[in-house]
Amino acid sequence: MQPRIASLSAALLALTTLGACVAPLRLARDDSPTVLAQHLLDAPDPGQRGSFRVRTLYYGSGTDKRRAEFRDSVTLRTATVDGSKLADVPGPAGKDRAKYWGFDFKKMPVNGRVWYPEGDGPFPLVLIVHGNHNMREFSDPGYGYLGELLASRGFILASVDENFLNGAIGRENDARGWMLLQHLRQWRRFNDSTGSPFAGKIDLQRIALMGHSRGGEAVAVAAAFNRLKHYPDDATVRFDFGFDIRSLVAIAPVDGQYRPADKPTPVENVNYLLIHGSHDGDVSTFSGLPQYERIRFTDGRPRFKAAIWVYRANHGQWNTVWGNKDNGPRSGRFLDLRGLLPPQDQRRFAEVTLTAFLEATLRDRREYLPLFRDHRVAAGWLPKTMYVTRFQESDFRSAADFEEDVDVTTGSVGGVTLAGDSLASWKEAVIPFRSRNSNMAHNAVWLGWNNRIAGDDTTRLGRPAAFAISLGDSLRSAWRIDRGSTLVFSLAPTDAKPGPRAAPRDTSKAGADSATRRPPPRRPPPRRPAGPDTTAFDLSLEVVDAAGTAARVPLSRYGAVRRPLESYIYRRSGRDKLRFASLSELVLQTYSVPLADFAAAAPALDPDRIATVRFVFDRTPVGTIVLDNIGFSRMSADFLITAPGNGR
Amino acid sequence: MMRALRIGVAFMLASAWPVSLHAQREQYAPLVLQLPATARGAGLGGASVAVRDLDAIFANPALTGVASGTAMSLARFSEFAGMGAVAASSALGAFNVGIGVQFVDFEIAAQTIPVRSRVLTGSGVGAGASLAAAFALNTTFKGLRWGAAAKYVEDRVATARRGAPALDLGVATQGQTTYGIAVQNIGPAMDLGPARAELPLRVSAGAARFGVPVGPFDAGLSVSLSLLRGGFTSPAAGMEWAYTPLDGYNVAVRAGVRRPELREQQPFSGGASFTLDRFTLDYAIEDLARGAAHRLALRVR
Repeated sequence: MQPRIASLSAALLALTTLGACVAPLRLARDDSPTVLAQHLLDAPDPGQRGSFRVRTLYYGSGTDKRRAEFRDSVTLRTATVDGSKLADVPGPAGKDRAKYWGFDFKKMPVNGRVWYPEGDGPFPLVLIVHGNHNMREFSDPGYGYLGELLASRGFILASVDENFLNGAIGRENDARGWMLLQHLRQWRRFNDSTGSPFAGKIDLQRIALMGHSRGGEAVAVAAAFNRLKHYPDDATVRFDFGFDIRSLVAIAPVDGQYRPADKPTPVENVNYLLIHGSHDGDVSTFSGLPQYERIRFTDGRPRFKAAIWVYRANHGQWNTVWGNKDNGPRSGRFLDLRGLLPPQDQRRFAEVTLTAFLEATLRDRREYLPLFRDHRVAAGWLPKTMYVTRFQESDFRSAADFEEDVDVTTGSVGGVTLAGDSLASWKEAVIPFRSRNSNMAHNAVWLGWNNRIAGDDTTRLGRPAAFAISLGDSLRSAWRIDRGSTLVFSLAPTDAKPGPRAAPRDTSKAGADSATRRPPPRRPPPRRPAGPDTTAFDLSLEVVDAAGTAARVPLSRYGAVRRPLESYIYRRSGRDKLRFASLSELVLQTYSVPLADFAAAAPALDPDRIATVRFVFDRTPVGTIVLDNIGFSRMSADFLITAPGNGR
Repeated sequence: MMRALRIGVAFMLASAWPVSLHAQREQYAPLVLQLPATARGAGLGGASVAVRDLDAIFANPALTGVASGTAMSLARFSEFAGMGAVAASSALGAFNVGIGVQFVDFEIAAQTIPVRSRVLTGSGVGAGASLAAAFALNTTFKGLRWGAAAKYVEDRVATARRGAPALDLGVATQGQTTYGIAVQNIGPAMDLGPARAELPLRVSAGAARFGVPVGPFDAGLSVSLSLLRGGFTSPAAGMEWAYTPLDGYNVAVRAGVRRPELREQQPFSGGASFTLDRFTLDYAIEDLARGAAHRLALRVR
């Protein structure tokens, strides 16, 4: 009996020890029932199948040793391409790889699986490419759910095979992007060839590239290479592409694994959509944001870019082959899978946003544009979780992006001045990523305040702190800022709380300056362990016209105002704190506030003569925000559908 | 994987082939060099020549330092004999270095060498001990790990003590499956009066692979074949079955089979381990002709 008790005790002890080390499931409080309470978009659900009958086919080398579909079932044969100057795996590993695939990087196959609509077309063309994964578990079939949906709605979707660039390989994202352009070259041939099932059916003026993980970076590389005449790292490789790539979609992308000429990849004049999950167990920071910031609109044509941080989404569920284990089949041992969105919900989000983006940018279905300015308008389509969104359209003019110099009082252009009032902290700094020693390579301003006055009376408040952006008359005229304009900025509250401000000095008493009369410093109150601050956060936006008339609206009317969302990726208690510099990613939410709303709030205001914009910290007595990309836009009215709760 | 398992099982059965060359096997000294040094190695039937571990110094100097840390083990063969071993290894620039000490304590029936293995399980009239201390160094060249260990070995029987220098040489691959070859105990014979005993010169070759996913488990297999100076061959094989319920935690069970080098040893052994982050506690049991040996080891990475 005694040995049995001893064994039971040992087993119990082991289980208890193990249990104590597994972190309880911790998720941020879900505000989606409030934020996504009202659907306002009057448009067909982009996540629903369309009316086209869907057909599928394969194109490729017809000789693929490992892929039966690209060997035995190709409808369209393609020639191999020599990518050996863009990808390399030296030594025995390279030989093993060539032995496995039956080819090396000199004979890379142009293989794709296609979902396309039955009909005469011409149809927009969308390529999607996977990222890095076990090269023996083929990734390209994993986007079939998008292929079926998009083809039924009149798009051709080709899922590109780049599995031969997967596995233990690095510095190959240039090859991944270049391969996409090689695929487009084949598509041009398919369109031009009589006898091809796609002859004359492809709208080559409406092309989008979508990529996942390393593929997400590859689409940006492809867009950059598309306009170059030479490969930046070896000019003996000539480029001759020039495709009309209208739109890029980056799904949980990496960034900077390839740097053309050792510079960040520059991309301009494309529409750009970036999505990323907060519980990504592979690319665990919002790595696509630097690329998002680098997208430039320079040709005056209407375009936009948007980024969506999806709470509880992971890395792999965007691809049905990859699944929920972001670091291989054994990663359930260390990744906490309990908090993840159900895969069908995560993919539903992809279906809705990606389709809406492609409909809007390739087929000019402008009714979907508001979704990217303020996702709340599509509440009925989106899975119930939390989203943090970034948005900028091509008419945006930046008054302050905090990149230009080290003078905190100057804006991004002449005629803009910045000023703080009663702030506890004010600094410009680079926005850090959650991962250690990495950042967005983009600056923002940190503003902290505490309206409480130090002293025994804890209810005593001083004048609300504020941060003001003043505009010169000439700039206002040049940018045509008027009642049709929209104030746009990105903002995130943080958990930092400055101490109370000092009481104003009483100059009526003689000798008030004397240090000898100063009361002894009080001991700080004992620290209590504080949980996450769940109090509502808000502030007022104020505009003042040239005549001094002011109008205020609350920020929360224009989007959810949340403190950073903590996400625990690992099962082991304490592992996230060990791995990351912060438990939350600092993702700024973009708010778009029509100036007409201020005029509605204060009819005496002249929105055609706005002189100052003020962020007034009057609704939360203490806090810190990070603020960036403050500017104005004369965005199309198509973007400006009424958002829930804004009273317009 | 299934093919490897089948080969492993066949190898294990072949290893258990009964033998009758005990006399030939009991002619070497010191005794400590003829015993598995580690609990994990013992649990794997002594098939350690290709196992990357903290205490690889005792089986193949080429694998020293591939895992860095310290390992300590204690063994009890009977109430008359016990064993201790300590090993530490670390990387040092392009090299890996390691040190290791093994010590066996027993009772002797006669003041002579070689000491027969029956001292492990039987009583005697005097005290005896056997010691080996090693310093190993290895590096990578042409894609292989090459290593050497300089050793001092000693047998002490009652008041007499005899020692000798010895050398181990080894080479190993670095892939997912490790292949290793080691030549151990190159050195002069030990004399004690009229008695003379050669070191147990041994050439071993083997392969090992661990962490192969099989359902929710990780399987491992290690096989080796040793050839002793007198022509005696000793195949050995061991399997490991591990489960990781949570990152940093690991539970493993092992079974090993061998053709024993010593009379008191029997073919079968087994073991288990529990890992918590950097710490691993190993247990092994070896079947002996009279009783069983129990080993306990702590490995700290």
